[in-house]
Amino acid sequence: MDNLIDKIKAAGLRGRGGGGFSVYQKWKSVIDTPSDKKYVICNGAEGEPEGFKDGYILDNHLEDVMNGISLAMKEIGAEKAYLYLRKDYYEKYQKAIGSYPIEAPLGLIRKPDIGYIGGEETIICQVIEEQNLFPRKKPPYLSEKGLFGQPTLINNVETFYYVSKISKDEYAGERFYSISGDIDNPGVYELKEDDTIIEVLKHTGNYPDFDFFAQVGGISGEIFLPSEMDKPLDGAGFINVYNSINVDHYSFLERLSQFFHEGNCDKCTPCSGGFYLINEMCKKKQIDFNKLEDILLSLKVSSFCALGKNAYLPFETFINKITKDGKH
Amino acid sequence: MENIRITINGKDIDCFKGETVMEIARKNGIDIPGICYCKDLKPETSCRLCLVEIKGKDGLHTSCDTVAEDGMEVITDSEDISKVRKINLELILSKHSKSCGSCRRVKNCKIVKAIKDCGMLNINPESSDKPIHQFGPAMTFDPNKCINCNNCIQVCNNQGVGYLELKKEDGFSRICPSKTKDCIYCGQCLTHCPSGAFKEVDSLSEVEALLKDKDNHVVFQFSSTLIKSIGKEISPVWNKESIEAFSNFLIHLGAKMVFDTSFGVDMVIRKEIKEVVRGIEEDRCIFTSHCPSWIKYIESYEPEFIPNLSRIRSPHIVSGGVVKDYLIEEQHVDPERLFVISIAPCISKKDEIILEENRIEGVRMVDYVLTTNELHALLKKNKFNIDNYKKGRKDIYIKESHSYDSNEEMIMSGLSTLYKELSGKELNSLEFKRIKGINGAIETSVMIHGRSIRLAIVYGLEGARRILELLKDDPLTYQYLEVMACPGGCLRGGGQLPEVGDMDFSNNIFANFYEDKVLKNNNLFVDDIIGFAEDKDIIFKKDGNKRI
Ligand code: SF4
Ligand code: SF4
Ligand code: SF4
Ligand code: SF4
Ligand code: FES
Repeated sequence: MDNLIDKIKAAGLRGRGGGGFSVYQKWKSVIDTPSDKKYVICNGAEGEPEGFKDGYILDNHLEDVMNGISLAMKEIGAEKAYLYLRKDYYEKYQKAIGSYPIEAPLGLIRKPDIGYIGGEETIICQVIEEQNLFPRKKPPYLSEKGLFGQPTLINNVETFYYVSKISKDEYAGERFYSISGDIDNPGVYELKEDDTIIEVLKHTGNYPDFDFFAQVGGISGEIFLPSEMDKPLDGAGFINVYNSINVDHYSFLERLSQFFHEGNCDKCTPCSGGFYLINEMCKKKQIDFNKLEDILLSLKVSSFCALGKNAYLPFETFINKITKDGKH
Repeated sequence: MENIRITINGKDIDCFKGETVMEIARKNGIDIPGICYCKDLKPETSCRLCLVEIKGKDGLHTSCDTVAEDGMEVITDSEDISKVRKINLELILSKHSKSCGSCRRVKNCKIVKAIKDCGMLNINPESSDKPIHQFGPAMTFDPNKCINCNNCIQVCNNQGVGYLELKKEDGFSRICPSKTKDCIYCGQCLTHCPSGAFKEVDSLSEVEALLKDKDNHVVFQFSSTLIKSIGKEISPVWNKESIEAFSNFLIHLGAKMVFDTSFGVDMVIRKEIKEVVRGIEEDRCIFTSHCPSWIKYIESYEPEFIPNLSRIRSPHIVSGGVVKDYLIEEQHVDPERLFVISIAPCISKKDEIILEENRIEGVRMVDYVLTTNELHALLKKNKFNIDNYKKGRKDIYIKESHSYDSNEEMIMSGLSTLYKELSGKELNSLEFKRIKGINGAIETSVMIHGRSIRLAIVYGLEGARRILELLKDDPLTYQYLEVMACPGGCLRGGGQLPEVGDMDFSNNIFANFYEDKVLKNNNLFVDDIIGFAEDKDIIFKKDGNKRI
């Protein structure tokens, strides 16, 4: 099997940005959308507050990432590729990236200082097009109408790394895990994709010997109790472990809401006003749980983009699982 | 347009492909609450109140940007919908410092309407005291009222100005005036802001004070067409009688004289020919200078076109100056006690009147500008009732013949004067056509001595910029260009009354404005002052267009 896209299909590679969408299908859709201009974007915005893994990959495997981008461009017939990096990555790798010979033009873009939402794919297009920094409505999806209105392939750093591995027949179902929190060996590890969360913690010598819970899949990810960790990680490769005894419930929710309050784009009411209000209630240590539930509902069903739509999850699962008697 | 059918709340509705669910619902008398929607803007979809359910799709959807598809089944009201609407409205209100008492919007407020529509009972807005921004001498912006809908940013960007920016402050994006750009005071942000955060700089209190002192000689001028939006506040029909009654009211308040800005137009148009001839000699398209925001736009953003600007002052400045001069010289009115006040739908004029180029020997030709909004406040305060002011017509100089019903009529009248002057013949008919691909722009041409004079009229700076591009390629594309900065012209000026619901940008509400177009000869007085203006230094700006 020589054809890259068929290899990707056979490997069953799923996007590593968090969405977990089939890479094959995404590429196929860009290939199948007719247009003389197509673009590739590599997303290196990595906006997680805890840990990092794309940074680790850039540090250790830049060549493969560049190779992956290059292969994607060839495969879809892209006119230009953009590598979109958060500020510190941009500064660190700017030089090295410039020295990689890549056939078609490559634009290196620095993520503006707009927080977590700066990694949202339609905002990335807005940044590159120098438009206002609000997400776009989907559909249309980027694969049909993306950058400059053209079919656009966007994957994150890790995905491009594995594309390169697949092309060299060196991929055997691994992914990267960034592990942080109340553990002994924080860091980035490359392990099997179908390892359970418990296995990942154990293999890395990080399985706690105390009562704990973890936020899995990044800052928008669900809160898991150990009993729920007997399954592979879904979403972005982040595991953040908390000691159940030490965690102050107010500060946990305060930190979470602060992050989303500062990191949203303020375009829409539930997210812009909602996280602010949650944050205020946490700061004052006076949480009106009915109000909190209302806001989470509104976020889930009425916010504009995925940031708001997904961010109810850690709150809801934390309240249900950790603050069992939270209503006091 | 392709016909499709959808159901709303179980009712079959025929509609067109491409229409949004909100448009269709409203057309069919189904009211969906919504604060941020404006008919002439791209939906910002920020308020998240116009939520509906769509069968087969998870979650709730904003109807203002959901395009109908054939067979779509829409529900506009359910327990879930009304619950989430209330939650969102409460979040919106937590950003909006409630000061309805002093708010220009209160009567037609989309927020107040949404509160009613959503059946909200307890409202506890947070108090905040962020500093108020001053936009030159024309406007203020109160961030404590802003609900982050972003309409103002969009409309200011459409104008090509980009004066309003977002800045993160304590985790919130806040609207901030740019440090590097100039506001042109078109007031479009104000008319598109649902929260009343923008306000014209108040001149009403000063004008009221002037009127109280009976030794003052206060003169009002207005164009009865352009302030027509006030009409319905005065009487069911805005016609000669109601205009007269309104003028009587001003006299009753203490004004010595009320006259029609159209006289200024007459004076200006006669002189405009000189400028067009200059343009022809210099191979330059002449831009009319009636709209101060347009002048400011050129000066700030396209200075290479400053020589194209007509050096003629704008009509209300000219008529103000002429009346002042006449009253001082012929009727010996004390200049210190003489004040001319323009009532206009325009915010920019508040800046225009203080410019050095619009003064004579340092003295303002117009002393104050009241917007239609301020006029409304004045009427309210005095509990205006038309029946009390029907009698009498003293010191009122309102044109009944050809008060220019629109900017187009004004420019056409200018063109026929020009034609007559240059060719010696009457211009019988003029056909305007839309300029392809440019919004709000029309053009026409006349042949004079074998030479074609091309003229364009553009409303809104989006279109005007396109014309400037054409002129950059070929300076002779047009010989005469009229730009009104506000999309829709002064009828949609920044000082007009905000209307609830959606702004209708077709101008037909202004059509057939005068019930009777009886031609009456105007007062000798008016002819007098027009003649008087001829040899004075009032019409032309002494040093051309230059801001000091
Ligand atoms: S949900 Fe709304 S406010 Fe939040 S990031 Fe998305 S668009 Fe911005
Ligand atoms: S007045 Fe006009 S130029 Fe000034 S901020 Fe408002 S929209 Fe922009
Ligand atoms: S000032 Fe008004 S128009 Fe601008 S964002 Fe705030 S509420 Fe919207
Ligand atoms: S178009 Fe009319 S209302 Fe608007 S700024 Fe110009 S003169 Fe004023
Ligand atoms: S979101 Fe539709 S009107 Fe505001």
